[in-house]
Amino acid sequence: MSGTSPLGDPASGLELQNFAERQGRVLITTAKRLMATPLATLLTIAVIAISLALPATFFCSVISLQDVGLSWRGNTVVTVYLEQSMDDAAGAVLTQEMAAREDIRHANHISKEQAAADFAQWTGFEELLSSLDENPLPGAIVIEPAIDLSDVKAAESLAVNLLAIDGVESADMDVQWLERLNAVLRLLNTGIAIVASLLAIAVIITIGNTLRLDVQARREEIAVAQLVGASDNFVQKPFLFTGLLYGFVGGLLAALLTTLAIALLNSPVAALAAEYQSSFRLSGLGVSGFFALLASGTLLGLCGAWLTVRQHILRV
Amino acid sequence: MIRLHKLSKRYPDTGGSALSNLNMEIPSGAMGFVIGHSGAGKSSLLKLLAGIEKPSGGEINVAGFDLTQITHRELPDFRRQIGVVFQENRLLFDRSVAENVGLPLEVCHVRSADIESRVRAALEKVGLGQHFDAMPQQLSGGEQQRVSIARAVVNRPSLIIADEPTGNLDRKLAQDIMRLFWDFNRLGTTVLVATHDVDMVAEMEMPILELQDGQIVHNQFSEAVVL
Ligand SMILES: Nc1ncnc2c1ncn2[C@@H]1O[C@H](COP(=O)(O)OP(=O)(O)O)[C@@H](O)[C@H]1O
Ligand SMILES: [Mg+2]
Repeated sequence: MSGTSPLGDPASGLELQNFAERQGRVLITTAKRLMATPLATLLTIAVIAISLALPATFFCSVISLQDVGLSWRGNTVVTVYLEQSMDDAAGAVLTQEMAAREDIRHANHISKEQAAADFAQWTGFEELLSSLDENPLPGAIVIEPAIDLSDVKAAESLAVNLLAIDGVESADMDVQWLERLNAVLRLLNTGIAIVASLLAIAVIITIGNTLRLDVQARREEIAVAQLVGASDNFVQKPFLFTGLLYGFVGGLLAALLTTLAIALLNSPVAALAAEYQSSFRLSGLGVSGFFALLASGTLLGLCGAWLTVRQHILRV
Repeated sequence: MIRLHKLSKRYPDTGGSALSNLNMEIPSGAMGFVIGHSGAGKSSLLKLLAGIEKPSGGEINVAGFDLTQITHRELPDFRRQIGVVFQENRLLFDRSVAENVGLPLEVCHVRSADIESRVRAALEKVGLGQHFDAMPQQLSGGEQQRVSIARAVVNRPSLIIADEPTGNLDRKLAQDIMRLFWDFNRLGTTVLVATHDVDMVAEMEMPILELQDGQIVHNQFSEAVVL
């Protein structure tokens, strides 16, 4: 039959070229059709772009915060506060004992005097301290553990061990702060995943609905094509390409919107970070994020189109 | 080319039989008419022959395809073997004449250069060579029907099925269209035309199949086969 050639035929190269040419032709026809109704097309693409940009922006923000948590982990220390009654000499001895332990890499003694000086510097209550007869601040030992404090079990057993030592009043682990951050980030991540899933469904529904109307408008064209021997594949292709184009362009626009949103957010973020002597900024999509967004858009577009076309074309 | 055995068709929503117990055979290369009053079952028979409707019972064989067994996937292959012309020509009015005629070639992936030359040839045959780039709405009713005939023959089908192709046309145009079908028949294509225009059928001196209330009351094809 026309259009097919036996395997090994020298014309098979031509067949491939013919195939590529056909896909290109359908794609161009589809693009032209979409551009013939610019407003309707733009609205559909805008809905898709916003649905993708919203979770993408949140996701970029959470990733940035996660990076903060990760960089913190490197210099996590435990501050062990000594009993008020322990003097500096005993504190120094205890520091050396701690430094010798296997689960501690480094221990640094902070004398009562230094604690008072630090306190005065941090709070500005110099007079308050000097008005007292005796230095009320305890000595402390700042410990760099040899274990990974993000491992909650290990961190807890270290805390128990430290508190069991004579003369130790309390142990303050910065890791608790990190744990809380991580818990909040996990919560945010789950929230974003839920919002993103819902919006993905919204994209599929939007594209599905647009294409359903499109299929209805082209009912006669589909019927006639089928009467003259069009396969399902042939009839579906323009609609699948339409979904693909919607999704792809929607993804592109979403990347633009996300970049814009992060740029807008970053100026208040910079101001806030400056309050904490931090140069923290939200990071953008990056190359992989850009392609991930583009791929999600395209895939969702194709998916929405496929589901609709399956449902409506075969019934024509 | 066509073989019916105890073929029947019932539409679920009307209950009554549109066709019942049809037995007949039409040989390859024949040309003839299906006649009968409105409601006799002509369109139903042609829709069954074109694979547009499914039979309710019996056997139907067209161009080597068993249409009682045919699957959705095989249907396009069958449709590419036959050319169908409708009373309401069913042209696509947002496409040019050439694109309409080229559609049967496009759906079976003929290369665009070949499509163009074959569409030109088909339009020449129906006398519309000069309207290649026109839009269908720029043409008269008779010309539009000839475009739909060009679309039906462009893929060189072995069977042409036409359901009242001249129903909307005046006498002279109707004769032109019939002559066109005859031309294709002389090139070897089997042609079956449904009409209620008995006068025209009489002029053509060709075998007829007459339907009445869904049954064959007169079959000159079988006489031809016997000969
Ligand atoms: N799609 C349909 N659904 C229900 N009944 C139909 C349908 N098509 C035709 N019929 C019925 O089948 C009978 C034959 O109709 P048809 O084949 O159109 O006859 P003709 O073409 O000879 O006028 C009529 O009684 C008609 O009402
Ligand atoms: Mg009819």
